[in-house]
Amino acid sequence: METRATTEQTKSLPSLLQRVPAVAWVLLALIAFFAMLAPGFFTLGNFLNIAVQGSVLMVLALAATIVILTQGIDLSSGAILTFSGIIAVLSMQAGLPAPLAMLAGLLTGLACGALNGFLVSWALLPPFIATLGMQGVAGGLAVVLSRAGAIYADAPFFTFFGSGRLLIIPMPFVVAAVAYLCTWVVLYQTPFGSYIFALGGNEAGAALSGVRTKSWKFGVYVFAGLLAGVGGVVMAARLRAADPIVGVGWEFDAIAATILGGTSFEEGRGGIAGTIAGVALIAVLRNGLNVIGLATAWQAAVIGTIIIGAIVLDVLLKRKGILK
Amino acid sequence: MMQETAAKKPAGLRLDLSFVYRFSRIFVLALLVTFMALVTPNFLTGTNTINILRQASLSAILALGETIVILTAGIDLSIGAVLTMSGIVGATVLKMDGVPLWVGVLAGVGCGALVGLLNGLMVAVVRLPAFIATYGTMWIAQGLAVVFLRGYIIYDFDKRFRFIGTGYFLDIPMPIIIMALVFGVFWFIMHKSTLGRSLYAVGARQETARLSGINIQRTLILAYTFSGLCAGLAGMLFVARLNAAEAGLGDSLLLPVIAGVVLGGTSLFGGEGGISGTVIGVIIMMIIINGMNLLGINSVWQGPVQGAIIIIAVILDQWGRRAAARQQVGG
Repeated sequence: METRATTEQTKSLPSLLQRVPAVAWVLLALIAFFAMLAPGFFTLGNFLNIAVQGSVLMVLALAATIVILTQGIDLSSGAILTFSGIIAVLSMQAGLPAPLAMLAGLLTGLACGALNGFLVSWALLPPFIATLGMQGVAGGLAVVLSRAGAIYADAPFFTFFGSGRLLIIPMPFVVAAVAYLCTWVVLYQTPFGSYIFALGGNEAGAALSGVRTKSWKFGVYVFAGLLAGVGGVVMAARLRAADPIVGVGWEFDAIAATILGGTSFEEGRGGIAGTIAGVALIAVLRNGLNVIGLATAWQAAVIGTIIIGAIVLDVLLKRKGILK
Repeated sequence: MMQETAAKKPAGLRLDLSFVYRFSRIFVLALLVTFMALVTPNFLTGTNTINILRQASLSAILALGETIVILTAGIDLSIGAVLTMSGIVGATVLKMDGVPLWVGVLAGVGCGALVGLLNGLMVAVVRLPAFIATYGTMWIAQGLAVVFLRGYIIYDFDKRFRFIGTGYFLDIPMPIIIMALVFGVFWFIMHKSTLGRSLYAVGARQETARLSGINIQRTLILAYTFSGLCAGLAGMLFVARLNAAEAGLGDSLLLPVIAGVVLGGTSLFGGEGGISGTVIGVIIMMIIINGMNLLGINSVWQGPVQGAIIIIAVILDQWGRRAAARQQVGG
């Protein structure tokens, strides 16, 4: 799913191996490592578990990927996820039918994304500051509206999206797959998608060739906000509750999954296929550390260090030409 | 990027916009003080003023470090977490038997500087975008803080250590004095040293800075190290004032500090602004936070309000800057 295939690739085995993204090797090594340490890790049940746990992150990481492809960043997706979940649950508590309440959650994400997009495109704020402000606003409103505590909802239609199954496939996974398909279509089958790559590759050039860069960039943040809303609703459905801190830090995992998946924050290169591997890596890491019984207190520090270490290594190795 | 149409300004009575822009923060501060004095009787009392300044001094120390990072067109999102981690590391060392107090303080400040150095290396050498590198260290530092704490709260420190947070010198609270000292050091760096000029140059245009012989990597590494050092120092002051260290120490500091820097007129695109404005910006932020308390607004509203202030402040600042620049081109 690389956007620019290098034409002069020789087809010898080493160079083919080079083209396998580093994240895939790390993922395999990690799975082997955890499988050796903990017998409970390498089971079908646990992999199903990882798939469900990774689903919400996948949705969020899709959002992060399209934003980063335009050389932007979204630090607010975790907070939007929280906020959307709160709105969905509150709407149900207020007596709205579950489908409408969930729609309200999605629209909340969409609206937050639209505000991000407006601030980046027309108010000309640097993306990290616009979305950092949004993180404060959305995360803060989630605390205000939930009165700083968890709120509950258990309408069957709603919880089906968290713990139900389609045939045998868990619903969160289905939602993530649908989100992936939609993003894939948008990114690779529509003009919008080409403009996303153009924005990241050469925004000034795109603008000069008549692309309405501001509107498309706005669209990117709207789409990202909507995805964060989807993540929030699914998360709340899984927990049968919305909690004002549930999404804290998720944006970091989403951004990390994107970068580890090979999307470059420099020049609009990469894509969502790599992001799957990045999400799998982080989901396996979180699950594995749990299964081998690493103390919860250590997990944040260890995961953060591994992620940043991997990003640094990835950048350095690519610069030296060891990795493609 | 933006080609401004220059000569369109109507002649006649003209306000010097760059003058208005430069002093707009003082206007805002004056307006805010007047408003608060009118609506709440307790605002302009001596105790409340001292209270605001004392709170502001902690944030100001953080904000001074953040300012020099933002001047280089970077950002340090890790300061709150670094404050927490340094406070806890310093507190742990202070609690060890037979360790002199200054070693504990040095451990905390040094811990902050070390994380700052790490940030600097990632930004300057690995060339990660600053918001990704410092966002990463933010989660790591916060995680390590929890690890060091092992689920407890560290409290009850030596009186002589607490003096730096709660004591008075010539009737002035110690945090204010320390913040003044830090400001003095920063003022010297910014105005009397080559490092100060380099910081502006690197932020304004890196390529030009490189061609004029400025060591960009060194400048960036120093900027982030200073920022971490400030966070470490603020962490120790915070612990001394609270007489306790816990995992939520720096939680609510990142947004107000960045808002303070922005309100102080330092451009997020680098190369413009400075530390004097930052102090005013931080005081404005503290008056807003303090005012919301005095007006009895539930503290859960702090998050949304601070987020909104950052966004609005950046928009207004860019707008004012552009208007002033346009007038200068026209005039």
